[in-house]
Amino acid sequence: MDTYPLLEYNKNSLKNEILKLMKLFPDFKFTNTNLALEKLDKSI
Amino acid sequence: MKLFGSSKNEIPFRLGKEFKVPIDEKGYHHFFIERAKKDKHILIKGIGIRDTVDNAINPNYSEDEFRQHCQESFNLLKEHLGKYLPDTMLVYGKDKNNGRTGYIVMREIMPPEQKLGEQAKTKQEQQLDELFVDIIAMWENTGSKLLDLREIDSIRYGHTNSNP
Repeated sequence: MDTYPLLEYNKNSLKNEILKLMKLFPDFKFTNTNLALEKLDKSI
Repeated sequence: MKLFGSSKNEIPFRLGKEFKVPIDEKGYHHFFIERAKKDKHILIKGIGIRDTVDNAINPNYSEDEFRQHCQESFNLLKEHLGKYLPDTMLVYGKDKNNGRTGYIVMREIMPPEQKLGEQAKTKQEQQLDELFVDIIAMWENTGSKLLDLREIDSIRYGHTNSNP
């Protein structure tokens, strides 16, 4: 059976992983994701 | 192993639909679909463990045991729901309030290698946009713990193969 470990992400590592994934799709705007990332930046 | 209360002919993605995933001879974990968009995007919430006569039980899991339990439930759900959604990716986290709730997001993602028409491309963009927003929301709600996001690389291959 495959295993899927849980990892702990801090705000920066989460953001970096998502940005990395977004770069796989350079043609896409990801409007809502960008808004969510902005909101994340502003959060405590 | 089969899911209680589901049959092969039943579409499993109705909002509110419940699943009971057997753990062992002692009982099962009770899930329901908290959110569903069409039948390609679902959020499954684990709502507790019950014994064979439907009494709620508290197994007093340690952190590691709970993680293991989420893992097993995740694999069971993947095994059973994967046949309905061959191109899915899954993420789950943990409720920071009580540490006893597992979330699993399943979603079909179209592989980007395909030459997509404009309409399909728009749909793919929308799917991914929603997915990333969900992941951020899940991170905020689950005490920072998520499935290894590198798994999402599998979207490049259009399936959940962890060894692409």
